[in-house]
Amino acid sequence: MIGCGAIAELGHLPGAQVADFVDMTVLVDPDIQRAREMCKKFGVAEARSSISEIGGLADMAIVAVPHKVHADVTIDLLERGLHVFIEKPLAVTADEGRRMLAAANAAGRVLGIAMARRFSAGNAYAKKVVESGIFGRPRSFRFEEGGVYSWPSRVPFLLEKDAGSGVLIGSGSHMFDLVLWIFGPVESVRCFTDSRTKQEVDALVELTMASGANGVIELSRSRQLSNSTSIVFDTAVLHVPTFGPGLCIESQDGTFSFIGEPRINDRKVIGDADMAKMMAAQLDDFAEAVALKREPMASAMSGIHCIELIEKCYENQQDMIFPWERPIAVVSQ
Amino acid sequence: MSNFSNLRAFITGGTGFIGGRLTQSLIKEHGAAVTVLAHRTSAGALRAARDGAELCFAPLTDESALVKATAGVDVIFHLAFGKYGDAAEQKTITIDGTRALVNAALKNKVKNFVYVSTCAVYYNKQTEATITENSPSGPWGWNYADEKYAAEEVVRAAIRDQGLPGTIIQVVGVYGPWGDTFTVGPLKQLSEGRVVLPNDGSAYANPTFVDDVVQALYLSLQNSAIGQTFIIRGPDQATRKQYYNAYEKMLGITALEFMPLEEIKRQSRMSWRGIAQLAPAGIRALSSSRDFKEAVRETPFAPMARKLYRSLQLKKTPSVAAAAPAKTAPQKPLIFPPAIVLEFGAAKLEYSPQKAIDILGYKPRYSLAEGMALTEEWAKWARLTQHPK
Repeated sequence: MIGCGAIAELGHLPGAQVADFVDMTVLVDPDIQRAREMCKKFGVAEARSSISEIGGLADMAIVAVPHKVHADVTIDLLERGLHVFIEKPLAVTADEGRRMLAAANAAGRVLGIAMARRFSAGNAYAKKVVESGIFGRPRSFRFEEGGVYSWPSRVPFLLEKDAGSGVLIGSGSHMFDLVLWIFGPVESVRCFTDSRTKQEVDALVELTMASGANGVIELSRSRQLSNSTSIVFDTAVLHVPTFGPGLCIESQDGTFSFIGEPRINDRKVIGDADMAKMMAAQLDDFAEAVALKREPMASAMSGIHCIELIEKCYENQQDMIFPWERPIAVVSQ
Repeated sequence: MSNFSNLRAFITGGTGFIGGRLTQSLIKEHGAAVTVLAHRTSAGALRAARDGAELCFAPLTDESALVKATAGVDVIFHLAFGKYGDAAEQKTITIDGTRALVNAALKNKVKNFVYVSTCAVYYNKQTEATITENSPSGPWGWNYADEKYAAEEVVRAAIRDQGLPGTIIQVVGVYGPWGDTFTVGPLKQLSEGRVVLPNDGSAYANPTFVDDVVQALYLSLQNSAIGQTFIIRGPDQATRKQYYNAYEKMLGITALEFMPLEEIKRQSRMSWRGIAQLAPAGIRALSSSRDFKEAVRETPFAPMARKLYRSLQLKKTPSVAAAAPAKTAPQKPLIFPPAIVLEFGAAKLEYSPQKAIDILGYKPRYSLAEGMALTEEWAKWARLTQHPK
């Protein structure tokens, strides 16, 4: 485990404890005390303060470090012969992502991305429904993810400039990944943000898919959004949470509906909101991908496509209009 | 006076409501260089960074860090107070933190030190009064007000004894976009329960739209403000009933209840059964509050609170599904004012901003109707008007 911050403590390390195919052998953090604390908490034998000290202790690395160093850390690990499973986003820029993929290919190692939402039953179900055509073609969709930001980051990297710190690349990575995974390529993008600094807190993205479907992704770190997905098909409307249990299928005219749980015959898909199980599922998928020499659920290439889409958003961004923000008139005596 | 483009400002509380709006205005409207004190990566800190502020991570009580952070600064706006941790920690942050910041300001010879305090320091058990800056002030039993008063005393002593170019701005009833106490709080309370107002709701709300406070903060940088205290209030008076009615209108509901003060006191002495009835809705409402989550996270009760919240979540209708209506809708719980501010909140206290009008040229611009119209636009966007049916 490279980086012992909040996502390691709350996600990857509890996930590794219940994963079938992964044994956590060494924790690395520049703050060696923190690494030792996490070793004690999660029963891991070794703590190190630098990647250069992990030789022979691991054959796969989970990377959870600030976004701006994703590329350098990953390439370093790949060149040391480790397979790398990286916390989203793959990188801050698509160019970095391509360098990372090239490094993985050169080293003959697997590079995968943590996209836990693909393992959530509702999203997997939505993908199955789209692919099956059971309700006809998807005409439109809306993905929402947002809440008042309270993630207990240990390092304030999201406050740094040019560090991949905006909401588009943060939780947006999850939503863009789901959209590309479920609906395929994007034809065009319109993006509205509350800032041009790439430190946007709120964003709204309108997408036209190559399939002809239109969609909206709304993201926020300041407001509680519904954290759900709605897909309008020819004959029905599907609602699922972006994470956790539950689903609702409504008739087009809203006169009748079905409320229940998505069922998928896939052991990797997790039906509840248990983060450890979700993280374990994706770790096991990655370990299996390494063993079987196949692509992991979220490949490096899918991560590059995701970042390319985010870059398109930044290129095309327009200002959100907030009519309640008026200039403060100051006229002194 | 209206050119703030070269201003270098240090703001405590810049990740909060009033300070956040000030930060945004200084940077976006004037291109000022603003540093904001923060203690963690919060939504407010992210908004300040988005607006272009530099973030300084340090405890408010760390004088040496503050000396370093305020070197070369023209003005300090001090809005932060102890909000997290236990009562002793909160007191330390509010009072000792103010002292540390005052010392930093003196060492760095800042040109203005503006302390934002509260009109609650004037409460003197009166039931009806017009309050001016000459009215008696002091501690009266509410920690928040008492500690703000103590911090005022720290600033006043530094003005008097050490030549601090300080100004105290006392605010009241501040509402508007991102406002927790007087905007998000009432909207959530009205959504979740029946909000009880004392007597006939005719106590004064002294509503002040946040932009009027920010106007006053700019004006407090004048020489005529130094050494002075100013009460800041909006242009019109309104009763608490009128004030809450504005939020009811936003929500499209009627959820106010009126009770004599003594009856509220009687009912507030709730039986355990009553508390048990209130707890689920109250915790659900609070659990969506950033402040509550932050406060709980920093207490030993965090694991217990998480467990309780999860058990309540399980009892909720699945969020993605439209549930069938219950055969008999349960009565929403009564929400009483906190006991400590019950009588204070029932008093007809009129805070006069006349001194600020006369000396600073303060021109409050937002009537309750205008301020609430802007607040409503924000509340809709913030999804705060989608109350449970």
